[in-house]
Amino acid sequence: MKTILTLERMDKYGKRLEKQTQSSRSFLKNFIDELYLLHANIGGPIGSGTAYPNGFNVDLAHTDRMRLDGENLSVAAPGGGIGFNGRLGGQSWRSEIPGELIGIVLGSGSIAVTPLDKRLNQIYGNGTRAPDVAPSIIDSYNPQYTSLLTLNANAGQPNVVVANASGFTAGEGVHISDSLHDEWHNILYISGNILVLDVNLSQNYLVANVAQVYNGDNDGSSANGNNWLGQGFVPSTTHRITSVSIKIYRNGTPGDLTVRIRGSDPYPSYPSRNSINDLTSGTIPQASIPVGASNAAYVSCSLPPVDLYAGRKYFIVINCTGSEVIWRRKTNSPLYMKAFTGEPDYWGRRSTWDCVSHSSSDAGVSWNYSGVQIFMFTESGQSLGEFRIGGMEVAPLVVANPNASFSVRRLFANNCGSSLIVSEVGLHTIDGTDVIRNPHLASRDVLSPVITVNDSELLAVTFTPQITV
Amino acid sequence: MEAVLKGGARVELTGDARIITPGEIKTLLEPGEFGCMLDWEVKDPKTNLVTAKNSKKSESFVRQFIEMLYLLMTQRGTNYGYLAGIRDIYGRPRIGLAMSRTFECVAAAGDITKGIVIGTGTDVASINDYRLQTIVPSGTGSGQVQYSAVIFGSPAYDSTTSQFTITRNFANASGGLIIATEIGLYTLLLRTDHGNSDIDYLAMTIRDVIPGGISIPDGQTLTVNYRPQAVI
Repeated sequence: MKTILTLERMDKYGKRLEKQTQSSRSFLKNFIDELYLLHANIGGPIGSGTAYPNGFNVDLAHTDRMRLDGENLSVAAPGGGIGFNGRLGGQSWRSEIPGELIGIVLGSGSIAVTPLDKRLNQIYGNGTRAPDVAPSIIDSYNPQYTSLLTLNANAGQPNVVVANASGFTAGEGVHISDSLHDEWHNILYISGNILVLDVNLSQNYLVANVAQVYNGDNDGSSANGNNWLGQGFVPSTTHRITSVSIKIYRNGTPGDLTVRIRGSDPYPSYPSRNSINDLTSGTIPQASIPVGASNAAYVSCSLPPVDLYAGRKYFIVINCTGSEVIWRRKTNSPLYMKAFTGEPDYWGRRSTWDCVSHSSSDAGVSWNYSGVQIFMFTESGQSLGEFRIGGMEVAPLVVANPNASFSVRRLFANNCGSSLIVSEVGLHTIDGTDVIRNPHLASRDVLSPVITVNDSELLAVTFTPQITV
Repeated sequence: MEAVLKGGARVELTGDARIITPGEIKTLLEPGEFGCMLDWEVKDPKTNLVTAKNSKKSESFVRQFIEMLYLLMTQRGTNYGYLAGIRDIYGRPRIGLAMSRTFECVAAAGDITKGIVIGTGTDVASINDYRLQTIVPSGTGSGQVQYSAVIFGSPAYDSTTSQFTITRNFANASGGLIIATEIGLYTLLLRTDHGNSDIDYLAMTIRDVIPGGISIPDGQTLTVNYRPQAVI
């Protein structure tokens, strides 16, 4: 079977401007794995059997694979931004795969293809966002309202008088500090500009010592050699992550801190299925980590850039070799990141169990979620630009001895205001287990020459598998 | 299951089929091609003497293969809708549905309706072929071979090629020479629920005609590998 890959660049009225045809070079081991599952009747179907191990989806999450209800090898998908129910049989469980991650996908990478490729080198997301000229914060959880004390706050009583209490919320944690002391408590209630704490202060805080109070993190968790910490997040836009910033401090000499980005199954009740594979990682030197709780601060870690896909769940994971680094977190009513500013995440959710804090006591192999507690972080990156990605289209089978073929096609509209260079094309198919569906890369081609799609133009991409006896 | 040949020689029928080229991927496929390699070997189990051996590119995916791939890729037929007119191995047009067992070719010893099958037909392959021209029955009678169970080799890869392996043994205890001139792969098209029992519709996805044929002397065993491969 040979597969023809056709790319047609058109103006906004559909008039063809350029046509490029080449043989698709690159069905990958993922494709062979899928055919093996089907031919050899491995695992499943749903609810029974043994899954085929060591499958990795496009997020490099470790997800075993098995025969599904007929979705294996499927490239049928709705357009971009539309939630795709990975279980097509009308079941209630959802995988929440964005439509743009099933079927034909485009990218701008140029790294040569290998049989083990799991993802495009650089993928274009769905939307109209222009390429970012510099990294910006994509996702974050760093609620923080700071106010100075206007009166000295004395030990043995619960009242803290601040300059402005409008940013504080009853029930949430606050951090009271001056140049000599600090402590964390919860706000019992607020009366005017008086924060009434749930317990009495243990220290005196003097206005003269720049006493202040802020809410946000009210607790922390310890990372060391075996105790790893993780925080989930769901990007609202497809982008290349370039750095994360986390609020930490250290006690003693824990050594350098390793910061990793890992993919995960998006199914919220299965944190144990978190990936054990790093998408990217970086290091925060011990010397850059502030010492002591009162000096806890956001520390940035640069990362080798890697694509994160909108609507998928990822984890920031940290560990160090010694003891200990404390990652500050919020334990009181910590609404999921963007909900804090009123902005829903990719799926419109304002609170989710997907993105609570996690911990591992076996060096990141298995994970448990913490309950509704969230580690403090920001995540920064750059969009490569976006296409409006249409639904997958199917052309009928054509059989005429000695040939038989069919075609699948997808339209990509560039409305981002800038030209986008397409240099790789992939085909994502569905794979997964009895509880989860995930996109897998079945085919990847690097284009030669590349195609430049100008603003307001369309690109139609067609795969035509053909057999000949 | 074991069978005793005439003269006392034993032929293993299950679990002994082996992959001819373990750990080493050989391909004749072109870059960018998805296809199958077809290997065969004839061996005397008493002496382990190999009397014939070959490896070639399987040339003949037939239309049922692309129809079933089309079903899966496009999700036609899951719950609603279907692709009608896919011929089963008896030539009857069947409805195709994307399902969990599409392409399945697990077969027990003696089953000639699924898995790798051999025949004695010589007609040139056509895209419209839906069965072997003349299948060799399973058994020890004249003109029969004993089909082993189908076994599978897990996916493997090297720098350019990914593959898995489907293997079956054909033991000749018929008392005479058998010449296999065609080889095919029968897979499950659809398992459908008819009252209290399931009915399997089976479809041929590959048919290869072997010019000159493969001679299987009495007492010897033919091992056939189909190795689906993707070459970048």
